[in-house]
Amino acid sequence: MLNRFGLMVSLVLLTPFLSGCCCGGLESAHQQSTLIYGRGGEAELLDPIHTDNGEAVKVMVNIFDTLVTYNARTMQLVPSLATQWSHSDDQLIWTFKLREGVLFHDGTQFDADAVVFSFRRLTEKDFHWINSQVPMEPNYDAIESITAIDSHTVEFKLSRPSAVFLENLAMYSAGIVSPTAHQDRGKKFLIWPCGTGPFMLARQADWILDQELVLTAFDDHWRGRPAIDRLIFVPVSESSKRVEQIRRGEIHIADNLPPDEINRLADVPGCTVQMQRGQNVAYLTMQAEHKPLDNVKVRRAIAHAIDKQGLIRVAYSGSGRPATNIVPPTIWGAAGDIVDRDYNIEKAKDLLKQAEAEDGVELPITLSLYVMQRERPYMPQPRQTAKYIKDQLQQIGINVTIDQKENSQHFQRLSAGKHDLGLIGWSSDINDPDNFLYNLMHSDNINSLGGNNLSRYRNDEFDKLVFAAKGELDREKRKQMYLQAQRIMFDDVPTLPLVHTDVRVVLRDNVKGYKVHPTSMVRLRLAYFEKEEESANDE
Amino acid sequence: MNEAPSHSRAWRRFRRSRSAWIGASLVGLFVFAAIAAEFVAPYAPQGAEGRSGAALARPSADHWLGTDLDEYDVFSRMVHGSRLSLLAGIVSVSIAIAIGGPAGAVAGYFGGWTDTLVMRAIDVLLTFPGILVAMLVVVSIGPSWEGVMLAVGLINIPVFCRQVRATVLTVRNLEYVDAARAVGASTPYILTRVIFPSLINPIVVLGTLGLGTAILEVAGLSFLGVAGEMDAAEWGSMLSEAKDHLSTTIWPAVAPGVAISLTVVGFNLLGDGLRDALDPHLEGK
Repeated sequence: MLNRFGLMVSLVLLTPFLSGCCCGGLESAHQQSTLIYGRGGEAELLDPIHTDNGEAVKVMVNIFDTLVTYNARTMQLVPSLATQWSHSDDQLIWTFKLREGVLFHDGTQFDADAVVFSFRRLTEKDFHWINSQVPMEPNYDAIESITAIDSHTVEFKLSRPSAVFLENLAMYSAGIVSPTAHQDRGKKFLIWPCGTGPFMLARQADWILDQELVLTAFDDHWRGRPAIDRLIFVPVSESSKRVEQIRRGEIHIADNLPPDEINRLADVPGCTVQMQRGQNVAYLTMQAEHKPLDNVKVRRAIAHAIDKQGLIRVAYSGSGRPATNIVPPTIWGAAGDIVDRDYNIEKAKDLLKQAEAEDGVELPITLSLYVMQRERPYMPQPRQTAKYIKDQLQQIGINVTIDQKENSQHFQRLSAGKHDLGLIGWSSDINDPDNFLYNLMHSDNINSLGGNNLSRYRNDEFDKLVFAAKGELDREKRKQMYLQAQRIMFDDVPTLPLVHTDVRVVLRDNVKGYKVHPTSMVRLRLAYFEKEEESANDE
Repeated sequence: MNEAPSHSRAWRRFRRSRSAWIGASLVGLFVFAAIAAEFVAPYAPQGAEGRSGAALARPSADHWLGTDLDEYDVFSRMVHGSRLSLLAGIVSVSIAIAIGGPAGAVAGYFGGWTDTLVMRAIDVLLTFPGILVAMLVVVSIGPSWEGVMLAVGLINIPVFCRQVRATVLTVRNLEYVDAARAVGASTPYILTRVIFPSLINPIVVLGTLGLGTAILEVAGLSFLGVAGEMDAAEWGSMLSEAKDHLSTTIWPAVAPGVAISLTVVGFNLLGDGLRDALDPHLEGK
């Protein structure tokens, strides 16, 4: 602990001395600046195809660019590495014009071959570093082939029309990697990636696991060099310590803090709280392969027994909205007309009795409840959430044993279906209901190595609708299909949506230009310091 | 060693010591809280019925020490916490005595290689920091309260083993033991009937002192999150949860902290008082 802290302070102190050498021209008026981002967890890999860990994504969106991306503030798709695109009338052939003069961090030229390479890597098994662990791959399975027409034009051929094709190109998993660096670094690429983004991991040694991850501004970034010279991600797992650090100005941005502490930090001079309605959902997965959760009456009983308002009061300090559907209301296609089941203990007990009488479910029921150790954006207080659910279910005679594990282990165990009940959530990277309904509920995504259908939900009608909606190009028709799918899901309750949270981040006042994106993507290209280096660091 | 007069003398000595009285009352207070928790505590310490509807509330007439992150009444949880803490302390000290006592007695009585074997094993146990050994034990058998009690019991074995051995060493060659041997008493008889009475006093003293330590160690383990169900009302886990919210309210952390300190101080004072009373030779040691 002390070491890391000492290192951090000395880095900050050193920066003014390092400044003279690397930046010239326009930048000379600007002092060398280091932005320290304090977060609760650590990435394990930084390869865009091999991880969907939120802490990794946070870093990767600063290292990689995608062909298209979201506007810095809104959910509008804008050109990025592709300057323009067009498609055939049947939407099966897509042609992208690529940006000229873009360089990778290793100095090589970005061109059509790099795009072809990146997508083949994403969709073809032979290119994967780790066997069958490409969590986002099913999102790209409509791509039949991709070819380079000339050095700066690529053509995608789709096997079926896909309404989410373009949106999915904006997702981090479609980040364009440098084929040369990929070749040179080999398996090291997993932890020492190379893209075209505004920041780069200059040396492999710049990432010391569980201590700090230092990104350097990429001088030749095509949008222009970012204002911040150095961006350091520091994992500080104790949230109370993160609170103290942001209060004292030792870190400049802190996320995933306990909600009650955020309320207090809002009053601390020097700290600003930024809030953004999140495109996320926290939910309770019910492993349908485990008895008695295969019984819909039991699942409905559980849904009736949990007071979501109470949960928001207890575990979110009031900062969130009860979730009826897994698709958050901020995303088009969310079924706003579905009225949630009421919180009704008696009804829940009756349902359990019915299940006992009609289907031979044995009462009382004992279930395991898996929960992660460290906070996530959709679940700032996992322990409190778990305890609340346990108390609620106890009221209807369901005994719950809470099993708390380190985050990565927790995700693996849920993916492998070891749980009865599990607490988890999802933040969408794109503005499309498909990201929720397909990734989290379609039976394509049941697999023990990173599949995200954790409840192992299988409903043919639902599957057909969601799959067909992917290919439906008429937005209105698509919406109707999603509404229908959500009604089926609401009826089946394979998972119980709990809360849509606000994403709240605390910043030091002198950090400007950064705004939490609706996708909660942490893109720090536009961040800068208003005044000179913060004096608090020199104390 | 005529028992009765010695005991009444001890009682007189104990009565005169003010610190012993303070210790005894503190311990008595927590023992009472543990036994009568249901009547003392105004609210349920866990479960849906214990939730007050307001998290991290400040102390008020309804909630004397405020509420914690889970909306439970801090005072009620503190009171109920004494139950688990005292129980864990007593069980683990009993485990330590049950294993350490006989081992020390055998080592001290027989001497030779038996002694070497037992004492080297104890030395090995002492090489590692106790809490580390305890964590290893709990993690390897899976987090549970039983595991915590067992672990804390294990790390306290050396204390009792060494004390019993030392006492046995001093008494085994005294005349009354020789006399027992001379009339043909068997070794088990000598150990359990002849030597045992002289072990009672040191064990009572050390056991009382050890209870304080054990309660602290149990709280330490559950603070680190290796104990059993996380929603149990227990001082260590209460502290652990409260520490992230200190700037909002300090009471959920202060209450278990003070409770732990008072129990430990209580057992220490009581233990000291007992030692002074039961074993005047050790006075001031």
